[in-house]
Amino acid sequence: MMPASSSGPKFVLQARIKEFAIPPITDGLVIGREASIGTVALQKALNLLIPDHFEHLIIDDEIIADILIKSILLRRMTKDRLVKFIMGQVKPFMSAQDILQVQLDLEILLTGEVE
Amino acid sequence: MTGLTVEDALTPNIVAVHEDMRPRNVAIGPLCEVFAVFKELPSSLAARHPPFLGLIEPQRVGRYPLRIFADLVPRQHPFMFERSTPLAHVVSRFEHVSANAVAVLGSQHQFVGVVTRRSLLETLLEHEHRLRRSNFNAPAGPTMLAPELPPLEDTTPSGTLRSAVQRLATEWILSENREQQHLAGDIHDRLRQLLIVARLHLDQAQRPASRGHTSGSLTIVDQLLEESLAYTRLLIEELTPSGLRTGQIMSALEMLALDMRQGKHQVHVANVPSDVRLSEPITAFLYRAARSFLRQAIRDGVSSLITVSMEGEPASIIRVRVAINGETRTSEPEHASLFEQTIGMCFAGIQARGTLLGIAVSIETSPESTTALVLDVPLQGSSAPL
Repeated sequence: MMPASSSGPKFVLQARIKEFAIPPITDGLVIGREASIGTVALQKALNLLIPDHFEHLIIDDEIIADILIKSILLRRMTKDRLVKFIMGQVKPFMSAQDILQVQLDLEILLTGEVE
Repeated sequence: MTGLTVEDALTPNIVAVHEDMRPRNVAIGPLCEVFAVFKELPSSLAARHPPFLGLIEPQRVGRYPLRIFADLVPRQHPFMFERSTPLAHVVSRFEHVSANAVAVLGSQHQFVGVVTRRSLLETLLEHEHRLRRSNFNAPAGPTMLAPELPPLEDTTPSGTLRSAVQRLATEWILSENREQQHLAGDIHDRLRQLLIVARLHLDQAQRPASRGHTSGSLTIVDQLLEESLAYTRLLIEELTPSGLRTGQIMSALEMLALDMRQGKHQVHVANVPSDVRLSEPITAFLYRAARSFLRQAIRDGVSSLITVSMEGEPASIIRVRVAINGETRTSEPEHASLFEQTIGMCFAGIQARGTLLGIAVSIETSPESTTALVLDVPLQGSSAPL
């Protein structure tokens, strides 16, 4: 005779707990032209979550529509250089539907002569 | 074209939405033609003037159902018109762009409504039906004499002469007045509207809310200014035609033909008598009449021949014949530019002016699809041309 408790389904729960990282975005987002969520919504969400200011770059391209990037990064690198880097290095890995998070580690090498 | 303005063609099938709303949170009726997106959404659009962000067509909403409306507004700002703009401008704009809707703003740049292709068509059809129902009669031709002038009693030869001079002076003043009204009307309908729309777009570009859309608005402003400049050049050419600078009828007609050929129309001058000399007013009239006729009647794929000949034995008439071989352009207003409808002389205008100058004006048509404007200038004497 089967015990009464084994007649119903058994529920097994597994949990993976991880700290919610704030900020959820480190340096920037590259937003595809056909992305399901648009730039304005993402920008508003970022502004609510993160105190850092994000710069909005509009891109004239069939894959990438916009880039949201931390303003502080643009103090060390011009917009043109950044856009050129993303178009050359990031764009080949994305489709128009994607939204990619980008972490940029910028190292500046300076050489100079001092008297 | 019809006296209608953009305000007459506003669509009622418009849904006003807040920029942060999502399409699934909005009740959309089956008749919805367009969404108007605002930064704030008051209970009544008429109560306040919320910042207007742009227009969205329903197809675009269906394509990105998860986006908020702010992310559905096209980067390019909608083309905007001031509420008093003649409807003909919207017709012309729809011919050149693929958009289905244009925004209409008031004098304070507040949102007034939207004209869609459908609402435009319905308005024009309704207007046409109304005209038919009211048994519309075309207005009579230009009045040749001022009816309000008191009758002159003096029947002596000097009195009759004085009366004739007075009538001529009156007619001249009326004619000049009509021309000035035409010109003012054309500048209002065309140039002023272009500049108003350019200013609307410029103001929109300068607003903080339009960040990211500035370049699109400035492109439109640039196009509108280019259009205004082109119109200004056309107006100057119309008022002081280069063809009339020499004062000679033959060189004027040759220049007219050359000008038309540069516009890809096959127009040539033939049968040129060697000793045609006409006075300046007659030359100007013949040139303008030929030009108006050609501009209104000629179309692609047909040719035109302008002939100048002496008629009668001995010669008593100089005949200028502007013949178009092939089907002429329809007289539908949509196919003629606004400029031609206003400044250019229509046939009634050509005939009225011709009568004043003693020139017989007629239209000849033949079964071979040739239509010709015939202008007969009587010679005062073989030795003394006009």
